[in-house]
Amino acid sequence: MESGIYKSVGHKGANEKRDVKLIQSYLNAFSINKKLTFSLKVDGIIGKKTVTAIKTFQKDATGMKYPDGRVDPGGRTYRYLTMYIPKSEQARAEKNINKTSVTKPVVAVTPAVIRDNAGLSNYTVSYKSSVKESRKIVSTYAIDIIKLALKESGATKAVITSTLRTPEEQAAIMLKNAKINLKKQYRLYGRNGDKVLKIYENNKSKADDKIKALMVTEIESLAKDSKRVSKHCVSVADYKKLNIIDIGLNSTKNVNLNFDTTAFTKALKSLQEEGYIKKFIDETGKSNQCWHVEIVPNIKGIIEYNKSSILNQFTYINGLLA
Amino acid sequence: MKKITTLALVSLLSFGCSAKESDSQTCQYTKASIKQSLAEQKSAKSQSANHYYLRESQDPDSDETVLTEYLVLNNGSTATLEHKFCDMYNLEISYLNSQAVDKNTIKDLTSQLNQWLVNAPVKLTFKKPFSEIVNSTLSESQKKLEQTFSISLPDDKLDANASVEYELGFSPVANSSLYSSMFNLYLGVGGE
Repeated sequence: MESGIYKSVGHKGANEKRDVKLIQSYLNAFSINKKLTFSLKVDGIIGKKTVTAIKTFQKDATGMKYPDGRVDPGGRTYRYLTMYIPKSEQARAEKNINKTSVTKPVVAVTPAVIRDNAGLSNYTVSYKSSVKESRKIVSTYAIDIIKLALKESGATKAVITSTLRTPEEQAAIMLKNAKINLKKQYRLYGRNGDKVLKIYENNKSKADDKIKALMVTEIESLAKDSKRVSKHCVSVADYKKLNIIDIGLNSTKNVNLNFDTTAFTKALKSLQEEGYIKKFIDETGKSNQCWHVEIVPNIKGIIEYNKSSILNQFTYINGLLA
Repeated sequence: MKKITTLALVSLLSFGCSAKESDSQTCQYTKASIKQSLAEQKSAKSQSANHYYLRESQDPDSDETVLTEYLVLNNGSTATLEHKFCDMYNLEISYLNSQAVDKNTIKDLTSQLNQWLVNAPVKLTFKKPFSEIVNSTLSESQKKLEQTFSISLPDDKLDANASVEYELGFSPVANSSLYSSMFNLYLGVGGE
Protein backbone atom coordinates (compact mmCIF):
# COMPACT_ATOMS: atom_id res chain seq x y z
CA MET A 1 0.00 0.00 0.00
CA GLU A 2 1.25 3.47 -0.85
CA SER A 3 2.09 5.90 1.94
CA GLY A 4 3.26 8.93 -0.03
CA ILE A 5 6.15 11.22 0.79
CA TYR A 6 7.12 11.62 4.44
CA LYS A 7 8.48 15.14 4.33
CA SER A 8 8.37 18.15 2.01
CA VAL A 9 10.24 18.14 -1.27
CA GLY A 10 11.52 21.14 -3.23
CA HIS A 11 12.34 24.72 -2.37
CA LYS A 12 13.10 25.00 1.36
CA GLY A 13 11.89 21.44 1.85
CA ALA A 14 13.35 18.63 3.97
CA ASN A 15 14.31 16.87 0.73
CA GLU A 16 14.89 13.37 1.92
CA LYS A 17 16.37 11.27 -0.86
CA ARG A 18 13.48 8.76 -0.99
CA ASP A 19 10.85 11.52 -1.18
CA VAL A 20 12.75 13.50 -3.82
CA LYS A 21 13.06 10.34 -5.96
CA LEU A 22 9.32 9.73 -5.73
CA ILE A 23 8.46 13.28 -6.76
CA GLN A 24 10.97 13.18 -9.62
CA SER A 25 9.47 9.95 -10.97
CA TYR A 26 5.90 11.25 -10.60
CA LEU A 27 6.79 14.46 -12.44
CA ASN A 28 8.36 12.42 -15.23
CA ALA A 29 5.11 10.47 -15.57
CA PHE A 30 3.44 13.64 -16.91
CA SER A 31 5.97 14.13 -19.70
CA ILE A 32 3.55 12.95 -22.35
CA ASN A 33 1.56 16.16 -21.83
CA LYS A 34 2.53 19.14 -23.95
CA LYS A 35 3.58 21.65 -21.31
CA LEU A 36 4.79 19.21 -18.70
CA THR A 37 7.70 17.78 -20.63
CA PHE A 38 9.99 17.03 -17.70
CA SER A 39 12.90 14.69 -18.10
CA LEU A 40 14.35 14.56 -14.64
CA LYS A 41 17.08 12.24 -13.49
CA VAL A 42 15.56 10.19 -10.65
CA ASP A 43 18.58 10.54 -8.33
CA GLY A 44 17.00 11.88 -5.17
CA ILE A 45 19.02 15.07 -5.35
CA ILE A 46 17.09 18.31 -5.24
CA GLY A 47 18.35 20.89 -7.72
CA LYS A 48 17.24 23.75 -9.91
CA LYS A 49 15.74 21.43 -12.56
CA THR A 50 13.51 19.59 -10.08
CA VAL A 51 12.35 22.79 -8.35
CA THR A 52 11.57 24.39 -11.75
CA ALA A 53 9.63 21.25 -12.75
CA ILE A 54 7.60 21.42 -9.51
CA LYS A 55 6.83 25.10 -10.16
CA THR A 56 5.77 24.38 -13.76
CA PHE A 57 3.53 21.58 -12.58
CA GLN A 58 2.01 23.79 -9.89
CA LYS A 59 1.31 26.53 -12.39
CA ASP A 60 0.00 24.46 -15.28
CA ALA A 61 -1.64 21.50 -13.60
CA THR A 62 -2.88 22.76 -10.26
CA GLY A 63 -3.83 26.32 -11.14
CA MET A 64 -1.56 27.75 -8.43
CA LYS A 65 -1.10 31.45 -9.12
CA TYR A 66 2.11 31.77 -7.12
CA PRO A 67 3.97 28.44 -7.32
CA ASP A 68 6.28 27.94 -4.35
CA GLY A 69 8.26 25.04 -5.83
CA ARG A 70 7.56 22.74 -2.87
CA VAL A 71 5.53 19.55 -2.52
CA ASP A 72 4.19 18.88 0.97
CA PRO A 73 2.89 15.50 2.18
CA GLY A 74 -0.86 15.42 1.46
CA GLY A 75 -0.73 18.97 0.12
CA ARG A 76 -2.40 20.29 -3.00
CA THR A 77 0.56 19.71 -5.31
CA TYR A 78 1.01 16.15 -4.06
CA ARG A 79 -2.70 15.39 -4.53
CA TYR A 80 -2.70 16.70 -8.09
CA LEU A 81 0.58 14.93 -8.80
CA THR A 82 -0.77 11.57 -7.75
CA MET A 83 -4.43 11.82 -8.73
CA TYR A 84 -3.81 10.38 -12.20
CA ILE A 85 -1.31 7.72 -11.12
CA PRO A 86 -2.95 4.45 -10.06
CA LYS A 87 -2.47 3.61 -6.38
CA SER A 88 -0.93 0.24 -7.32
CA GLU A 89 1.64 2.08 -9.41
CA GLN A 90 2.39 4.44 -6.53
CA ALA A 91 2.84 1.47 -4.19
CA ARG A 92 5.22 -0.18 -6.68
CA ALA A 93 7.24 3.01 -7.06
CA GLU A 94 7.56 3.38 -3.27
CA LYS A 95 8.54 -0.25 -2.82
CA ASN A 96 11.30 -0.06 -5.41
CA ILE A 97 12.51 3.44 -4.62
CA ASN A 98 15.68 2.35 -2.81
CA LYS A 99 16.48 -0.71 -4.87
CA THR A 100 18.37 0.94 -7.71
CA SER A 101 19.94 4.28 -8.29
CA VAL A 102 17.50 5.01 -11.13
CA THR A 103 13.95 3.89 -10.48
CA LYS A 104 11.88 2.34 -13.25
CA PRO A 105 9.57 5.10 -14.47
CA VAL A 106 6.05 4.99 -13.14
CA VAL A 107 3.28 4.46 -15.67
CA ALA A 108 2.89 7.46 -17.98
CA VAL A 109 -0.04 9.76 -17.39
CA THR A 110 -1.46 9.60 -20.89
CA PRO A 111 -4.59 11.42 -22.10
CA ALA A 112 -6.43 8.10 -21.80
CA VAL A 113 -5.36 7.74 -18.15
CA ILE A 114 -6.42 11.32 -17.48
CA ARG A 115 -9.75 10.70 -19.17
CA ASP A 116 -10.40 7.63 -17.04
CA ASN A 117 -9.33 9.25 -13.81
CA ALA A 118 -11.10 12.46 -14.58
CA GLY A 119 -14.26 10.45 -15.07
CA LEU A 120 -14.63 11.49 -18.71
CA SER A 121 -15.14 7.89 -19.78
CA ASN A 122 -18.64 8.11 -18.33
CA TYR A 123 -19.64 10.73 -20.92
CA THR A 124 -20.76 10.07 -24.46
CA VAL A 125 -20.37 12.18 -27.56
CA SER A 126 -22.01 10.60 -30.60
CA TYR A 127 -22.80 11.59 -34.17
CA LYS A 128 -26.27 12.16 -35.53
CA SER A 129 -27.32 9.42 -37.95
CA SER A 130 -27.27 11.92 -40.84
CA VAL A 131 -23.50 12.40 -40.45
CA LYS A 132 -21.77 10.18 -43.01
CA GLU A 133 -19.32 7.57 -41.76
CA SER A 134 -16.47 9.28 -43.66
CA ARG A 135 -17.26 12.52 -41.85
CA LYS A 136 -16.97 11.07 -38.36
CA ILE A 137 -13.43 12.32 -38.01
CA VAL A 138 -13.55 14.56 -34.97
CA SER A 139 -10.35 14.01 -32.96
CA THR A 140 -10.37 12.20 -29.60
CA TYR A 141 -9.06 15.42 -28.09
CA ALA A 142 -12.01 17.49 -29.36
CA ILE A 143 -14.39 14.81 -28.12
CA ASP A 144 -12.72 15.04 -24.68
CA ILE A 145 -13.19 18.81 -24.66
CA ILE A 146 -16.91 18.36 -25.36
CA LYS A 147 -16.97 15.80 -22.54
CA LEU A 148 -15.40 18.37 -20.23
CA ALA A 149 -18.23 20.75 -21.13
CA LEU A 150 -20.76 17.99 -20.43
CA LYS A 151 -19.19 17.32 -17.07
CA GLU A 152 -19.06 21.01 -16.16
CA SER A 153 -22.72 21.43 -17.07
CA GLY A 154 -24.04 18.29 -15.39
CA ALA A 155 -25.07 16.58 -18.64
CA THR A 156 -23.85 13.21 -19.89
CA LYS A 157 -24.37 13.08 -23.64
CA ALA A 158 -23.88 15.31 -26.65
CA VAL A 159 -24.70 14.77 -30.30
CA ILE A 160 -22.58 16.10 -33.17
CA THR A 161 -24.76 17.11 -36.08
CA SER A 162 -22.20 18.46 -38.51
CA THR A 163 -18.48 18.16 -39.12
CA LEU A 164 -16.89 18.99 -42.45
CA ARG A 165 -18.25 19.44 -45.95
CA THR A 166 -16.22 18.92 -49.06
CA PRO A 167 -16.58 21.50 -51.85
CA GLU A 168 -18.77 18.95 -53.69
CA GLU A 169 -21.08 18.55 -50.68
CA GLN A 170 -21.19 22.31 -50.17
CA ALA A 171 -22.05 22.91 -53.83
CA ALA A 172 -24.74 20.21 -53.72
CA ILE A 173 -26.39 21.82 -50.68
CA MET A 174 -26.23 25.29 -52.18
CA LEU A 175 -27.57 24.11 -55.53
CA LYS A 176 -30.48 22.29 -53.90
CA ASN A 177 -31.40 25.26 -51.70
CA ALA A 178 -30.88 27.86 -54.42
CA LYS A 179 -33.38 26.04 -56.61
CA ILE A 180 -35.93 26.30 -53.83
CA ASN A 181 -35.37 29.94 -52.84
CA LEU A 182 -32.40 31.79 -54.30
CA LYS A 183 -33.10 35.09 -52.53
CA LYS A 184 -33.10 33.35 -49.17
CA GLN A 185 -29.73 31.79 -49.97
CA TYR A 186 -28.30 35.18 -50.91
CA ARG A 187 -29.40 36.42 -47.51
CA LEU A 188 -27.87 33.44 -45.73
CA TYR A 189 -24.38 33.62 -47.26
CA GLY A 190 -21.70 36.28 -47.11
CA ARG A 191 -19.73 37.67 -50.00
CA ASN A 192 -17.95 34.41 -50.86
CA GLY A 193 -21.12 32.34 -50.76
CA ASP A 194 -22.83 34.95 -52.93
CA LYS A 195 -20.13 34.47 -55.59
CA VAL A 196 -20.98 30.76 -55.71
CA LEU A 197 -24.71 31.51 -55.86
CA LYS A 198 -24.06 33.90 -58.75
CA ILE A 199 -22.53 30.98 -60.67
CA TYR A 200 -25.81 29.13 -60.19
CA GLU A 201 -27.87 32.14 -61.23
CA ASN A 202 -25.83 32.73 -64.37
CA ASN A 203 -25.93 29.09 -65.43
CA LYS A 204 -29.46 28.11 -64.45
CA SER A 205 -30.27 26.74 -67.89
CA LYS A 206 -27.48 24.16 -67.72
CA ALA A 207 -27.75 20.63 -66.35
CA ASP A 208 -27.42 20.25 -62.58
CA ASP A 209 -24.14 18.35 -62.70
CA LYS A 210 -22.61 21.06 -64.91
CA ILE A 211 -23.78 23.85 -62.57
CA LYS A 212 -22.50 21.91 -59.58
CA ALA A 213 -19.09 21.43 -61.20
CA LEU A 214 -18.86 25.18 -61.85
CA MET A 215 -19.85 25.91 -58.27
CA VAL A 216 -17.22 23.47 -56.97
CA THR A 217 -14.57 25.22 -59.09
CA GLU A 218 -15.55 28.57 -57.58
CA ILE A 219 -15.48 27.17 -54.02
CA GLU A 220 -12.04 25.65 -54.62
CA SER A 221 -10.75 28.85 -56.16
CA LEU A 222 -11.89 30.84 -53.12
CA ALA A 223 -10.34 28.25 -50.79
CA LYS A 224 -6.97 28.83 -52.44
CA ASP A 225 -7.10 32.35 -50.99
CA SER A 226 -8.22 30.96 -47.60
CA LYS A 227 -11.75 32.21 -48.27
CA ARG A 228 -14.44 29.93 -46.93
CA VAL A 229 -17.96 29.74 -48.31
CA SER A 230 -19.20 28.06 -45.17
CA LYS A 231 -17.62 27.47 -41.78
CA HIS A 232 -17.74 23.73 -42.47
CA CYS A 233 -16.37 23.72 -45.98
CA VAL A 234 -12.72 22.76 -45.59
CA SER A 235 -10.47 19.98 -46.86
CA VAL A 236 -9.93 16.81 -44.79
CA ALA A 237 -6.29 17.84 -44.26
CA ASP A 238 -7.34 21.25 -42.92
CA TYR A 239 -10.06 19.65 -40.83
CA LYS A 240 -7.50 17.50 -39.05
CA LYS A 241 -5.70 20.69 -38.02
CA LEU A 242 -8.90 22.40 -36.90
CA ASN A 243 -11.98 20.37 -35.97
CA ILE A 244 -15.16 22.25 -36.87
CA ILE A 245 -18.14 20.86 -35.03
CA ASP A 246 -21.82 21.62 -34.64
CA ILE A 247 -23.44 20.14 -31.55
CA GLY A 248 -27.16 19.96 -32.15
CA LEU A 249 -29.41 21.55 -29.55
CA ASN A 250 -32.44 19.33 -30.03
CA SER A 251 -30.45 16.14 -30.62
CA THR A 252 -28.47 16.75 -27.44
CA LYS A 253 -31.55 17.70 -25.45
CA ASN A 254 -33.26 14.49 -26.56
CA VAL A 255 -30.52 12.22 -25.21
CA ASN A 256 -30.24 13.88 -21.79
CA LEU A 257 -32.60 14.04 -18.86
CA ASN A 258 -33.16 17.58 -17.58
CA PHE A 259 -30.59 19.10 -19.91
CA ASP A 260 -29.47 22.58 -18.86
CA THR A 261 -28.88 24.55 -22.10
CA THR A 262 -27.52 27.62 -20.32
CA ALA A 263 -25.05 25.61 -18.25
CA PHE A 264 -23.72 23.81 -21.34
CA THR A 265 -23.35 27.11 -23.21
CA LYS A 266 -21.52 28.57 -20.22
CA ALA A 267 -19.19 25.56 -20.03
CA LEU A 268 -18.27 25.85 -23.72
CA LYS A 269 -17.70 29.58 -23.34
CA SER A 270 -15.48 28.93 -20.35
CA LEU A 271 -13.46 26.32 -22.28
CA GLN A 272 -13.00 28.91 -25.01
CA GLU A 273 -11.73 31.44 -22.47
CA GLU A 274 -9.31 28.82 -21.14
CA GLY A 275 -7.91 28.29 -24.65
CA TYR A 276 -9.30 24.81 -25.32
CA ILE A 277 -11.84 25.94 -27.89
CA LYS A 278 -10.52 28.25 -30.59
CA LYS A 279 -13.91 29.52 -31.62
CA PHE A 280 -17.32 29.18 -30.08
CA ILE A 281 -20.60 30.50 -31.45
CA ASP A 282 -23.85 30.00 -29.65
CA GLU A 283 -26.31 29.43 -32.47
CA THR A 284 -28.98 27.79 -30.35
CA GLY A 285 -31.24 30.79 -30.78
CA LYS A 286 -30.75 30.87 -34.54
CA SER A 287 -32.11 28.71 -37.33
CA ASN A 288 -29.12 26.34 -37.03
CA GLN A 289 -30.06 25.52 -33.41
CA CYS A 290 -26.61 24.33 -32.47
CA TRP A 291 -23.39 25.16 -30.67
CA HIS A 292 -20.65 25.76 -33.18
CA VAL A 293 -17.17 24.98 -31.87
CA GLU A 294 -13.77 24.95 -33.52
CA ILE A 295 -11.03 23.01 -31.72
CA VAL A 296 -7.34 22.66 -32.55
CA PRO A 297 -6.41 19.08 -31.56
CA ASN A 298 -4.03 18.87 -28.59
CA ILE A 299 -3.70 22.65 -28.24
CA LYS A 300 -3.65 22.38 -24.46
CA GLY A 301 -3.47 19.34 -22.22
CA ILE A 302 -6.64 18.38 -20.40
CA ILE A 303 -4.54 18.12 -17.27
CA GLU A 304 -4.05 21.87 -17.54
CA TYR A 305 -7.76 22.48 -17.22
CA ASN A 306 -7.12 23.82 -13.80
CA LYS A 307 -10.26 25.66 -12.94
CA SER A 308 -10.83 24.84 -9.33
CA SER A 309 -14.45 23.97 -10.03
CA ILE A 310 -13.80 21.11 -12.38
CA LEU A 311 -10.69 19.64 -10.80
CA ASN A 312 -12.29 19.69 -7.40
CA GLN A 313 -15.15 17.82 -8.97
CA PHE A 314 -12.70 15.27 -10.38
CA THR A 315 -11.05 14.67 -7.04
CA TYR A 316 -14.36 14.51 -5.26
CA ILE A 317 -16.02 12.21 -7.77
CA ASN A 318 -13.08 9.86 -7.92
CA GLY A 319 -12.64 9.80 -4.18
CA LEU A 320 -9.01 10.73 -4.58
CA LEU A 321 -9.12 13.45 -1.98
CA ALA A 322 -9.67 11.08 0.88
CA MET B 1 -67.73 50.04 -59.00
CA LYS B 2 -65.78 52.93 -57.52
CA LYS B 3 -66.42 51.48 -54.05
CA ILE B 4 -65.08 48.08 -55.12
CA THR B 5 -61.96 49.63 -56.65
CA THR B 6 -61.29 51.65 -53.51
CA LEU B 7 -61.83 48.58 -51.34
CA ALA B 8 -59.49 46.53 -53.54
CA LEU B 9 -56.85 49.25 -53.37
CA VAL B 10 -57.16 49.49 -49.58
CA SER B 11 -56.96 45.70 -49.30
CA LEU B 12 -53.90 45.59 -51.55
CA LEU B 13 -52.21 48.36 -49.63
CA SER B 14 -52.89 46.78 -46.28
CA PHE B 15 -51.72 43.40 -47.56
CA GLY B 16 -48.58 45.03 -48.89
CA CYS B 17 -47.93 46.72 -45.55
CA SER B 18 -48.42 43.61 -43.50
CA ALA B 19 -46.18 41.62 -45.86
CA LYS B 20 -43.44 44.18 -45.44
CA GLU B 21 -43.98 44.23 -41.69
CA SER B 22 -43.62 40.47 -41.39
CA ASP B 23 -40.52 40.59 -43.60
CA SER B 24 -38.78 43.02 -41.31
CA GLN B 25 -39.87 41.00 -38.29
CA THR B 26 -38.17 37.87 -39.61
CA CYS B 27 -34.86 39.65 -40.12
CA GLN B 28 -32.36 39.27 -37.32
CA TYR B 29 -30.94 42.70 -38.11
CA THR B 30 -33.71 45.23 -38.59
CA LYS B 31 -33.72 48.49 -40.49
CA ALA B 32 -34.89 50.42 -37.44
CA SER B 33 -32.03 49.25 -35.23
CA ILE B 34 -29.33 49.70 -37.88
CA LYS B 35 -30.67 53.16 -38.78
CA GLN B 36 -30.72 54.17 -35.14
CA SER B 37 -27.15 53.03 -34.67
CA LEU B 38 -26.02 54.95 -37.76
CA ALA B 39 -27.82 58.06 -36.54
CA GLU B 40 -26.02 57.81 -33.20
CA GLN B 41 -22.66 57.59 -34.98
CA LYS B 42 -23.41 60.28 -37.55
CA SER B 43 -21.97 63.23 -35.63
CA ALA B 44 -18.72 61.37 -34.89
CA LYS B 45 -18.38 60.44 -38.55
CA SER B 46 -19.24 63.97 -39.68
CA GLN B 47 -16.41 65.40 -37.57
CA SER B 48 -13.82 63.78 -39.80
CA ALA B 49 -15.76 64.49 -42.99
CA ASN B 50 -16.69 67.50 -45.06
CA HIS B 51 -19.74 65.79 -46.43
CA TYR B 52 -21.95 63.01 -45.14
CA TYR B 53 -24.85 61.48 -47.01
CA LEU B 54 -26.98 58.43 -46.29
CA ARG B 55 -28.86 56.53 -48.98
CA GLU B 56 -31.32 53.69 -48.64
CA SER B 57 -31.81 50.98 -51.25
CA GLN B 58 -32.55 47.30 -51.67
CA ASP B 59 -30.22 44.55 -52.83
CA PRO B 60 -31.66 43.13 -56.07
CA ASP B 61 -30.35 39.60 -55.40
CA SER B 62 -31.52 39.16 -51.84
CA ASP B 63 -34.04 41.97 -51.22
CA GLU B 64 -32.00 42.91 -48.14
CA THR B 65 -32.06 46.53 -47.06
CA VAL B 66 -28.93 48.47 -47.96
CA LEU B 67 -27.96 51.65 -46.15
CA THR B 68 -24.99 53.38 -47.72
CA GLU B 69 -23.06 56.18 -46.05
CA TYR B 70 -21.06 58.42 -48.36
CA LEU B 71 -18.25 60.40 -46.76
CA VAL B 72 -15.86 62.97 -48.16
CA LEU B 73 -13.18 63.04 -45.50
CA ASN B 74 -11.26 66.10 -44.34
CA ASN B 75 -8.03 64.65 -45.76
CA GLY B 76 -9.54 64.51 -49.26
CA SER B 77 -10.17 60.77 -49.27
CA THR B 78 -13.66 59.47 -49.88
CA ALA B 79 -15.35 56.47 -48.34
CA THR B 80 -18.56 54.56 -48.73
CA LEU B 81 -19.82 52.35 -45.94
CA GLU B 82 -22.45 49.97 -47.23
CA HIS B 83 -24.53 48.18 -44.59
CA LYS B 84 -26.57 45.30 -46.02
CA PHE B 85 -28.56 43.24 -43.60
CA CYS B 86 -31.36 40.86 -42.73
CA ASP B 87 -30.30 37.36 -41.56
CA MET B 88 -26.70 38.55 -41.81
CA TYR B 89 -25.01 41.87 -41.31
CA ASN B 90 -22.67 42.79 -44.17
CA LEU B 91 -20.44 45.84 -44.12
CA GLU B 92 -18.49 46.83 -47.17
CA ILE B 93 -16.15 49.77 -46.87
CA SER B 94 -14.61 51.27 -49.97
CA TYR B 95 -11.92 53.81 -49.21
CA LEU B 96 -10.47 55.94 -51.98
CA ASN B 97 -7.20 57.17 -50.56
CA SER B 98 -6.05 60.65 -51.53
CA GLN B 99 -2.76 60.40 -49.66
CA ALA B 100 0.45 59.02 -51.12
CA VAL B 101 1.10 55.39 -50.27
CA ASP B 102 4.01 55.29 -47.85
CA LYS B 103 5.09 53.67 -44.59
CA ASN B 104 2.29 55.40 -42.66
CA THR B 105 -0.52 54.30 -44.95
CA ILE B 106 -1.40 51.07 -43.13
CA LYS B 107 -1.20 52.77 -39.74
CA ASP B 108 -3.52 55.60 -40.82
CA LEU B 109 -5.88 53.32 -42.70
CA THR B 110 -6.21 50.71 -39.93
CA SER B 111 -6.83 53.47 -37.41
CA GLN B 112 -9.68 54.83 -39.55
CA LEU B 113 -11.12 51.40 -40.35
CA ASN B 114 -10.88 50.35 -36.71
CA GLN B 115 -12.90 53.38 -35.68
CA TRP B 116 -15.65 52.50 -38.16
CA LEU B 117 -15.59 48.82 -37.23
CA VAL B 118 -15.80 49.23 -33.47
CA ASN B 119 -18.68 51.65 -33.95
CA ALA B 120 -20.48 49.43 -36.44
CA PRO B 121 -24.14 48.61 -35.69
CA VAL B 122 -23.06 45.05 -34.77
CA LYS B 123 -20.97 44.69 -31.63
CA LEU B 124 -17.45 43.58 -32.49
CA THR B 125 -14.61 42.87 -30.10
CA PHE B 126 -11.09 42.55 -31.40
CA LYS B 127 -8.88 40.18 -29.43
CA LYS B 128 -5.84 41.95 -30.84
CA PRO B 129 -5.50 45.53 -32.08
CA PHE B 130 -6.90 45.71 -35.61
CA SER B 131 -3.63 47.22 -36.90
CA GLU B 132 -1.72 44.19 -35.58
CA ILE B 133 -4.16 41.79 -37.24
CA VAL B 134 -3.76 43.54 -40.60
CA ASN B 135 0.01 43.88 -40.31
CA SER B 136 0.60 40.25 -39.35
CA THR B 137 -1.75 38.99 -42.09
CA LEU B 138 -0.02 41.14 -44.70
CA SER B 139 3.33 39.92 -43.52
CA GLU B 140 2.28 36.23 -43.47
CA SER B 141 0.79 36.46 -46.94
CA GLN B 142 3.75 38.55 -48.16
CA LYS B 143 1.46 41.22 -49.58
CA LYS B 144 2.67 44.75 -50.08
CA LEU B 145 0.92 47.95 -51.08
CA GLU B 146 2.30 47.71 -54.57
CA GLN B 147 -0.16 45.58 -56.45
CA THR B 148 -3.80 44.53 -56.26
CA PHE B 149 -4.66 41.91 -53.64
CA SER B 150 -7.53 40.63 -51.55
CA ILE B 151 -6.78 38.75 -48.36
CA SER B 152 -8.91 37.00 -45.81
CA LEU B 153 -8.34 38.27 -42.26
CA PRO B 154 -8.29 35.72 -39.39
CA ASP B 155 -11.77 35.43 -37.93
CA ASP B 156 -10.59 33.95 -34.64
CA LYS B 157 -9.17 37.34 -33.66
CA LEU B 158 -12.61 38.90 -33.78
CA ASP B 159 -15.49 38.10 -31.48
CA ALA B 160 -18.97 38.91 -32.73
CA ASN B 161 -20.90 36.02 -31.16
CA ALA B 162 -21.62 34.80 -34.68
CA SER B 163 -19.60 33.49 -37.56
CA VAL B 164 -17.49 36.20 -39.13
CA GLU B 165 -15.87 36.51 -42.49
CA TYR B 166 -13.76 39.53 -43.27
CA GLU B 167 -11.40 40.49 -45.98
CA LEU B 168 -9.17 43.35 -46.91
CA GLY B 169 -8.47 44.38 -50.48
CA PHE B 170 -6.08 46.87 -52.03
CA SER B 171 -5.55 48.22 -55.51
CA PRO B 172 -3.44 51.09 -56.78
CA VAL B 173 -5.35 53.76 -58.68
CA ALA B 174 -3.64 54.71 -61.90
CA ASN B 175 -4.20 57.90 -63.87
CA SER B 176 -5.88 59.85 -61.10
CA SER B 177 -4.80 63.19 -59.73
CA LEU B 178 -7.15 62.81 -56.77
CA TYR B 179 -6.51 59.32 -55.47
CA SER B 180 -3.47 57.10 -55.09
CA SER B 181 -5.13 53.86 -54.11
CA MET B 182 -8.28 52.09 -53.05
CA PHE B 183 -8.87 49.90 -50.02
CA ASN B 184 -11.82 47.63 -49.58
CA LEU B 185 -12.90 45.97 -46.38
CA TYR B 186 -15.68 43.42 -46.24
CA LEU B 187 -17.16 42.14 -42.99
CA GLY B 188 -19.93 39.56 -42.85
CA VAL B 189 -21.46 38.61 -39.49
CA GLY B 190 -23.78 35.65 -39.03
CA GLY B 191 -25.23 33.49 -41.75
CA GLU B 192 -24.06 30.10 -42.91
